[in-house]
Amino acid sequence: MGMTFHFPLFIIFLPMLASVVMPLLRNSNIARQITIWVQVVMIGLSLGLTASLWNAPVPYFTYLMGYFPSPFGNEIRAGMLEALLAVTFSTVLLFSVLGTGYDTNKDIIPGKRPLFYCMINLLNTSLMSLVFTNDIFTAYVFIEVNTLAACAIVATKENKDTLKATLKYLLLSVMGSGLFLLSTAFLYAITGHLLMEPAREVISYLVQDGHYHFPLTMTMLLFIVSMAVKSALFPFHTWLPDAHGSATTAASALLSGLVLKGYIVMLMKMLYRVYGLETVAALGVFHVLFFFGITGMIAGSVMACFQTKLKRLIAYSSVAQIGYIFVGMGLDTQGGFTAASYHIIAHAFTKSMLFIAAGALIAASGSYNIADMTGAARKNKMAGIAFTAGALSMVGIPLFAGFVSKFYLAGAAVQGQTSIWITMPVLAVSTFLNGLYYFPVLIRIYSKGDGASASVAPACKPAPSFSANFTLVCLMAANIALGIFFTPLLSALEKGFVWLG
Amino acid sequence: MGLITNFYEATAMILFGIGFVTLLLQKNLIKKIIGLNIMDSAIFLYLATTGYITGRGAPIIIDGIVYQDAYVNPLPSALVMTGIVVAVSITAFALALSLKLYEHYGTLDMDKIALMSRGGDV
Repeated sequence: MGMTFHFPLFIIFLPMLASVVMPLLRNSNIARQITIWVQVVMIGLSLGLTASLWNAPVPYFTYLMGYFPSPFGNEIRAGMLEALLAVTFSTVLLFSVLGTGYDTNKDIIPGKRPLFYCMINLLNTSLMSLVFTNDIFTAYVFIEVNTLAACAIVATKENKDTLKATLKYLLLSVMGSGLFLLSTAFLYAITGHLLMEPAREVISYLVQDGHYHFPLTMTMLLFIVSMAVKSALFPFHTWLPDAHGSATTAASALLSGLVLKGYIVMLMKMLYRVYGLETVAALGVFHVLFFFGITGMIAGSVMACFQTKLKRLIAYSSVAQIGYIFVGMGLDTQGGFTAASYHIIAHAFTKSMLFIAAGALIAASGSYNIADMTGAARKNKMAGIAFTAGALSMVGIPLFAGFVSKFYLAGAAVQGQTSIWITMPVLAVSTFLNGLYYFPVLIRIYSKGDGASASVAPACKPAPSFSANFTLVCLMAANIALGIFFTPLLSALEKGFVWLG
Repeated sequence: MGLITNFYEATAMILFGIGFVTLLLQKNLIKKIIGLNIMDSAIFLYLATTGYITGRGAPIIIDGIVYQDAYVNPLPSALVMTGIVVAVSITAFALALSLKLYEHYGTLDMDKIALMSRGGDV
């Protein structure tokens, strides 16, 4: 182990340090460079952590902050799952910053840009803390940090729509955090612990004895509702299209690709490490997750079909994809959780690519409306190719990342006996709907159009920068790699879940 | 019986309900933010009650450590402290945002804001 033992700590504190430095800088270019290089270091650290855990006999360790023992201290836990998520999150964050320089400069006034990068670094810290923490109250604090940073990066592109979207997002998120704090208080009152492992010992003891069934169920439902509000599960999704659709491109890519996932990872840890799967199944909570996931899969796609603006269409597609992840969790099998976590990774890479490509297409056509985008992919070829790849991956075409997660979701549904008759038809319908709203956009952006619309092409067409093209190529490569070489990753995730319990 | 012995907890839950409903149903932004603060305070009251044990003192060492039974549980108070810091920063951010919204829309009524922004382009 050696050096890598301390890596989770560095992974959390490095972006925090960077975010403290950002407001002191005047030059937004330096802030951007620092953010990018911090990300590169973070990828290195998380890859090192993954490599050290890959062949370890016990693929996880607990790190005591300040070496204070368990009841007093704060703990970090790093395992296979956490390490892989850290790799994914830092990579996607790097590319979201790298590929959107044009839009960031266009949307945010120069004086505010260092603060924008400050918020991105804070977002990074809080995501990494949510992934690694072993303490429920620490999780609460970083959930709030995450909420504030996410709202702030939506609001930095200051206009009527983003301000309204931010406020809607903030109010609903704050409601979710209130419920999370309440359930944390209940859990502390019932168990007397805030660390996950001691809390689970008490809970399993209580469940065996038959005490506190009702309060425990209520607490768990409060946790699920609070995380569902923040990760935009279907009936609580109303803030998402506004916030993701109106924010600047970097913010949209980050919010859709990562921020939603941070909360889902937290929920997975709550189910696995605080309650334990047997308890969750005994209290019947998996059916709730499954039901809302299934509804979200269909409803998100149906609403996406009616969108006329490109970014809002992609945002509604996120609602549907969050449904997939919750269905995977609700299947109540190890395979379901593995498929859900694979979909977290696949969706993070795909959705950030879609948003970055959409930003470039919007810049090339000069309009947010899909109807005005005729031939946009011919003006910016790389963005067109990346958007196509992302759409194919979301629909679930083989050789792309989205196919693997859908395939394994279906496989996990076969293992659970009752859910198969619901999951299979819904997967089929949802795939069909995905095609229904992505393919018209593809046809639109590649069609030549009539001469009239070509002549009024906007004069301010920017040449796509090298870093934007490089980002899209890297994300496409990652997508295809995830779609072809998925076996080792899936087995590593599976190992992560086995040791998580 | 349960309500009378646990009246702090009962009060906290009633306050939480009031705050939650205010946050969700009020149209005025300032009232929403007040509701948020009532909701958070209710949770802090609940947490503080969990740690308090009747007849014991604050865990501050004056004449050396007495014995464990003399003190209340200090952890929930620490949680309340952290929670207050978080609540203050969220309130500050929400108020700053309301100010900006008022500059752009000229109203603090969420319904009117929603109506006005529907026509605008992104």
